[in-house]
Amino acid sequence: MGILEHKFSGDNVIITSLDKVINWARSNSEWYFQFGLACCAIEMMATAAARHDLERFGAMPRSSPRQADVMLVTGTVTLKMATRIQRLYQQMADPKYVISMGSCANSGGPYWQHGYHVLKGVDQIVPVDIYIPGCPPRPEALIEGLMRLQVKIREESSLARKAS
Amino acid sequence: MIDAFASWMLQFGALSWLGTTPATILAMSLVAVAIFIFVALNALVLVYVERKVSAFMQVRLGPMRVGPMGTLQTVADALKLLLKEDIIPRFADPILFRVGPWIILLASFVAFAAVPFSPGWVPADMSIGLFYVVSISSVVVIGIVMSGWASNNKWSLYGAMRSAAQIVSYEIPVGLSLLAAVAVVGTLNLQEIIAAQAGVGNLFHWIPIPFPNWYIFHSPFLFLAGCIYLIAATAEVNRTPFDIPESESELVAGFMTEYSGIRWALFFLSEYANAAVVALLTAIVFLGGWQSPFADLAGARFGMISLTVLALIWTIFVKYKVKRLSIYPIGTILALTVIAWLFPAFAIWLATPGLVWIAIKGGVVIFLLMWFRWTFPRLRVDQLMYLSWKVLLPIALINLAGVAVWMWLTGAISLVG
Amino acid sequence: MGYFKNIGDSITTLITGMKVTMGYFVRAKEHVTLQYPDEKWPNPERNIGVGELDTYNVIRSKLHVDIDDCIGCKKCERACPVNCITIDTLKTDKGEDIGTTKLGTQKRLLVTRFTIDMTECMYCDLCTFPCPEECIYMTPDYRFERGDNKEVQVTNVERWRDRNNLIYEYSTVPKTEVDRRLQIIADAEAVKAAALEKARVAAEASATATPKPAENREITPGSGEEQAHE
Repeated sequence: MGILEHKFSGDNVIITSLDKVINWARSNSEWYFQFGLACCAIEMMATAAARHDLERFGAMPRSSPRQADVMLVTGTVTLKMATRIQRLYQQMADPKYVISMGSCANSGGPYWQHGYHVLKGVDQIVPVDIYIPGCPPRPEALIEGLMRLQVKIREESSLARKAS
Repeated sequence: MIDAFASWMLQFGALSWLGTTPATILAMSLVAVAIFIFVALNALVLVYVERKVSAFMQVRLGPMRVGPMGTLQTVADALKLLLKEDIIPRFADPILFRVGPWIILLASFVAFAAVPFSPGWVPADMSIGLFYVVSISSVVVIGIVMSGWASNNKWSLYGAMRSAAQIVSYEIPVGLSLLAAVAVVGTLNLQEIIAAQAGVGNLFHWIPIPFPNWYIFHSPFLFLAGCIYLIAATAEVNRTPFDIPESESELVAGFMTEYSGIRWALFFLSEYANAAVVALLTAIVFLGGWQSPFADLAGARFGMISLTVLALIWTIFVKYKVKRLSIYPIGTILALTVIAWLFPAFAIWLATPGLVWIAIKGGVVIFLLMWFRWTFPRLRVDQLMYLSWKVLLPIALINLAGVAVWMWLTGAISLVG
Repeated sequence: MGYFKNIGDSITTLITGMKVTMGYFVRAKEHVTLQYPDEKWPNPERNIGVGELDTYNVIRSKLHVDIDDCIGCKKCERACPVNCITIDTLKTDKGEDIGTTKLGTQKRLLVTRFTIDMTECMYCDLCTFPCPEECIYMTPDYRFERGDNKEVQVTNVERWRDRNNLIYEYSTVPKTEVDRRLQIIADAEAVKAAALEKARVAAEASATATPKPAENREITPGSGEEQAHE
C-alpha cells in the first residue's frame, strides 16, 4: 500500500471509487486492540459481550498490536503506562486509529488537576481520532464512538494526493 | 484425473496443437489453481461461518452490518488485510520471516493433491495417498517453527516450540487411529479406501439395523479410532481446545505475534485449509468419503423417511423444552423426503456417490471442530502431553489390536493361511 | 482406577459442555443482543438509594444546565470534585430585571460563562444536589448527540473530531452584551480610579508640605519590645 498511497490526483473517477471500496473494507473491519486500563475496560467487555455484541460491526478483539486496526484506550493512563501505550501504538500497522474512551483517557478525568501520576489525556502521546466522554461511558456510547470512527474512515482518501 | 484432463484438452479442437507434456503441465496448473481458489473460498466462507457459529453459541448475533446478515464481513476483512501495512521487525530474520507463512500455506495446500473429491476426481491418485496426506500436513510445523524463530520475539518462540511439541506428539495417535482403518481395508490408496465403504450393511456387522458400510459403523473399535482421530487431528491443526501455540491469554498471538496484514492472512488461510484437510480425511477414512449413505432408490426413500422420523422426534423433544425453535432443518429434511418420493430421479441422485456427499460430511466434521472450539477451555501444556502420551496412545494401540481381533471374529481374516 | 475415572469424568463433562453450547446454538433466535443503533436498551429504572427515582437513575449520563434558571450562585462549581465547571458572573445594574427562575427567585447576576468540560466530568451527580434552583441535572442522554452546545453550531461528526468541542458552553449571553457590560464597568472603574488618583495626588501634595515624623516612631520598635518583655 505504501507505494500507492497519496500518489494519484483525486478527481479521477477510478481513484475515488477505489477509495470508496478501500474505505468500505477498512471501516467495516475494525479489529480492536484491547487496551483495558481501568474501569472503562469493564464497559468495553460489556460492549463485546452478548448484550451489545461489538462483533456485529465486524470488530474483533486482537491481542497483538500488529494485527489490530484501532486501539481502544479505556481507562486511566498512568505515566508508567503511557510509554507502553506509545510503544504499542508505534507497533501497530498502518492504517491505525485510536479511540479514547472515558474521562481519564480523554483529559485525565478526575486526576486532571492534582494527579501526580496520571497522563493528562492520552492525546499527549498518541493521536486520538475519537473521544468518548463518560465515566465510564455506557456500552452504547462506545458503539456510538465506533460508528463515528466508521464515518471518519469513510471520509478519508488513501489513494488521492493530499491537498497540501 | 490429470491425465484424463490432459487428453481431453488434446482432443479439444483449439488445444490440439499442444504436445502431451505441455498439456499435462497445463492441466496440472489448472487443477492447482482450482484447488487454490477452493482453499481461498473455503477460508472466506469458514471464517464467516465460524464467527456466526460462535456468536449463536454465545447467545449473540455475530457480524450483522456488512451485507445481508453480515455475509460480506470476511470480504471486507480480507480486503483490509491486503491493504494493511506489512511490518517486518528490524531484528527479525528477514528471509525466514518471509518464507515461514508460505511454507505453512504450501504444506496445507499440497495436502489437497491426494484428496479424492468424487469418483475419478482426485488430482493425484497415488497408492500411498493416506500416508502422503498425513506426512505432508506435518510439514506445517517447520513453517511454524521458522516463523516463530524468525520473529525474534519471545512469545513467537514459545508458541513455535509448543506447536512443535504438540504436532509431533499428536502425529502418533493420528497415525495409529488411521492405521486401524488401513488394517481393515488393506490399502493406503484413498480412492480404494472409499470404494471399500460402499453399500449398506448391518451396524457393527451383527446388529441388524441397516447402516452404511462406513468404517465408523464397521466395528466399535473403528468407532473409537474415529473419535481418537478427531481429537488428535484437532490438536494437529492447532484448534481450540488444543490451541496452546497461539493461546491469546498467555502468548500474545503465539507464533504469529509479529505478523501483520497479508502475511497474517496467509496463516489464517492455512489454518482453515488445514481444518478442511482434516475434515475431508475424517470423511474419507471413517465416513465413507463420496459414498452415498443410501444403496439404491428404495434405500434412499427409506433412509429419508427414517431421517424425517428421527428429526420429528428430536424436534418434538426439543420443542418441549424450547419456546422458539428454528423450523428450517426439519422443514428441509421434510421437503427433501417429499421430493424423493415424488421424483424417483432425485432419490436415485441421492443414492449416487458424488461431490455433494463428501462436502456434506466434511461440513459436518468442520462444524464439529467449531463446536469443540467454542465449548472447551484450553488445555495446559502438561495436560496436553498427558492426553497424548498417556491416554490417546495406549488406547489407540489397544484399539489396533482390538480391530484385528474383531476382524478375526467376523471372518474377514483367518489365523490359518 | 483413578486413571479410568479421570477419562470417564472428562468424557461426561465434555458432553455436558457440548450439550450446553448446542442448546444455545439451536435456540439462536433467543439471543439477547439488541442491535444498538436500531434497537435501544431502556434507561435503567432502578433507584440505587439516593434521591428521587427520576433524578438519580440517570447517573453516568450527560450533565445538563437550564441556563435560564441559573442564578449564578456557583454552588455547583464548588461542589464539583474535579473542578470541571467554570462559572463567570457579572452584577446587573440597579433596578435591572433579567427575569426570574422557574422557582420564582429574582435573578441578580448575569451568568456570562457556564462551561462544563465533558472530558473531565465524572458524571457523579454531586453538583445537582446543592443547586437551589434545580437547574443543573443529569439527562438520560448518554450519547452526546443532541445539540445542547448552543454557542458552536457544528455537525456531530465535527464535534467528535475535536476534543475542544467537548467543553460545553451553556451561557446564552451574547459576546457583545458581555463586552458592553464590561465596558460600562471598566468606564466606572476608570472614573473611580481617576477620582482616587486625583485624591492621592492631592494628599501627596499636602504630605510633602507638612511631614509627619511622629507616625514612624509609633510603629517601629514599641510593640516588639513589649512582647519580648512578656
